[in-house]
Amino acid sequence: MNNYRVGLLSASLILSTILAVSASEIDLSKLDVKTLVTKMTPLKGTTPAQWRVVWTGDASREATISWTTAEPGKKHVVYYGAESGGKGGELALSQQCQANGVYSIKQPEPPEKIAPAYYHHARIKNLKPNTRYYFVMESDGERSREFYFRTAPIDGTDFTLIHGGDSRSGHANRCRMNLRIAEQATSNPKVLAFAHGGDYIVSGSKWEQWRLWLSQHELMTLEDGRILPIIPTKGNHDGGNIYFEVFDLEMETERWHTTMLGKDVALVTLDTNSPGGGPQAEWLEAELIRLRPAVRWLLVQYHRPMYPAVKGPAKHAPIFCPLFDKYNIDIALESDGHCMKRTVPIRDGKKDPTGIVYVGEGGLGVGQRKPDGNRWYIKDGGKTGSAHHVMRLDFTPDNLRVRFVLMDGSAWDDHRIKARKF
Amino acid sequence: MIPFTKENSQLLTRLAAIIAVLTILGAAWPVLFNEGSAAGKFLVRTHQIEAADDGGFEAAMEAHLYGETMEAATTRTESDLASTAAHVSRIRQLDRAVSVLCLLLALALPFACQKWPKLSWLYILPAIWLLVNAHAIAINGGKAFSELAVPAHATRWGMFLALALLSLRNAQSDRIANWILRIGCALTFTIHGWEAFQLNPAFQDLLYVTCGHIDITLTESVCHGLLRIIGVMDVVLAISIVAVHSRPLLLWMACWGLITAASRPIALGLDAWPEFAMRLPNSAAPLLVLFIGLPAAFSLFSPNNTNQPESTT
Repeated sequence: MNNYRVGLLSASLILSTILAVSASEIDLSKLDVKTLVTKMTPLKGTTPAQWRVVWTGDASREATISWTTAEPGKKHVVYYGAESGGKGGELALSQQCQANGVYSIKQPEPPEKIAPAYYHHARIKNLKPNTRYYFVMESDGERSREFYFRTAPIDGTDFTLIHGGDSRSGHANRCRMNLRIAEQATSNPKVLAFAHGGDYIVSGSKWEQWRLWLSQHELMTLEDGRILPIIPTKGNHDGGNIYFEVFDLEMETERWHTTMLGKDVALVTLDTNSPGGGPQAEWLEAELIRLRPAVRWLLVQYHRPMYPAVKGPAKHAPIFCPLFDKYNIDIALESDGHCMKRTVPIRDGKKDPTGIVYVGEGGLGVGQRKPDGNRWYIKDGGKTGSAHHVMRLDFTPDNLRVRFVLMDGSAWDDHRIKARKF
Repeated sequence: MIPFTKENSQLLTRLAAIIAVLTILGAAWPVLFNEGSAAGKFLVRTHQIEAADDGGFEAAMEAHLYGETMEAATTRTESDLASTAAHVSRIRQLDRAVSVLCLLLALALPFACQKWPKLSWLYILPAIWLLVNAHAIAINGGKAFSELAVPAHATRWGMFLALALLSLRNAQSDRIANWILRIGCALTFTIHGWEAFQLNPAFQDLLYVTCGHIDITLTESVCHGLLRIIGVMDVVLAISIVAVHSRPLLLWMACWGLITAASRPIALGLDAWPEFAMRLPNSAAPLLVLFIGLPAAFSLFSPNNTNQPESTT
């Protein structure tokens, strides 16, 4: 009889857990404004808010920890270490912010006024690869709770990258997609970072739009305090200075960059707002020569598609694509079109099994468009659709698995790319 | 100088009508087969933002996070995806219908105006469509110098206004058309000159890719130097067209307009032909000014060059 009761109790517990999990899945799509907003940190005094970890270089050993305060403050420090500080919050290392300043705010016509806000960037270096780093941000004595992120492994490819773009409108859906990304990382601890394909907001010179995006970005923080480092790309709506202030980038020298996720995976980020030719093409070719065949997985990301499903191709296509072909990149991650797309493998402007697959087009909240599935690079073996999504890229030594994950958690497309042999 | 005769007047309006058809075809092509017009995109975006209740969300965030709005934020419920998609689909259909209407007008009016010249006023509809789209480009943003789209596209919408007047075939309307075309050219060439001088990234890539086709590797400094020279030249041409009536200058403007329009398909491939077609007025407008032959602000060149047109009405 007792055994029967224990069995019944266990069965009900399992059933309630299953129901609770299903309920949270349903709740994600139905979360209302109030619930979403109360999950974000008010921008007040020198309380650290709008936190993010930025990767644009060696992700195994370096990161930039950034946050925003409402008041300028005097002393801004990040405390960090490979061991958690626990409740006392004592961490082994500290780094004063190397860059502090006021965001470039264009004031509207009076009587409207936008309160100033201040960025703080702590560039931390000499980190250990494949290690959890716990950190606490402090501005004039005001401390954040403890967060952590994981550095990239020095070698090996056993991790996952999330990519998504176009979050410039549709706030509620933008928040839900951020929660979906957090859920992906919660359910799969191999998720290492998030690469944004650009078009964070509508008008890049407006702080009042950036601050919404930054506060909403907090939702990507996992329940246990884990933060997914962001690898930023500049979109065509991200003009002005604020993009560079948010991600601690030099306007003149860091519009394009390579993020090394260990020695086996490289993500080359390009800027489709700058000329493709001249310095960018020269840099790209030098990077591709350096990286190929040294890395097993060579990816590129940029905003405007070379093989679009909605618009015409980017003017950079005649410059970038021959270089992609020549140096055999593995995949190109695109945004801008507000749809979902996977092309057939393309080489020299033709379908070719040895060619490059172009995927993405962006759906982090922005209204979706109807793609043209009849284009030659889509119709015989490619795929298009319209839904909010992120792409999940699972790396293994032999395969790159690319899945489009929709807002409800389902997969729209599941595609594998084999590692090239050199 | 081309004497302004009845035959030339007809030739003039025929040339303008053909260019008008090609311009509208180039502008309508992406509306029919790609992402839609700038105005259509603006309407879709506005509707999607309203349907997603972004305003309510922003107000709630501002009240809770930034303390700027003291009033309680009022939020509406988000529209369901199906009704938003249906509304967006209707906007897209309307967008396509307007572009087809403009194309049909451009095709039909040259014939209709021969019988009923007053119908030429209908050319104002495509002009308004082009003007509204230029304004929408400026609002939508997302491109370098997009805020200058209205004056940058002045030859396009201006040529349709001029065509409406030229089809009336009287001296007064020709004089007005002459000035619309001159001012349109001046605006377009000034803005393009400014963009070139400011090193518009798209212009840089046109130079890089075009030179690449003929195996010339352009360095950044040479590219910038060329664009700055082009910028100065464009502004000089813009000033000249409203200041003097010079046949060589007008011919060069027409050639230069054609070269810059053709640079798109040359650099990007034949798929970019709509970009060429919609820029044809940059070449046609100076040519029309030349054919009309009326004076500019100062007639520095021989007054013989500025024949008064015969009234053909």
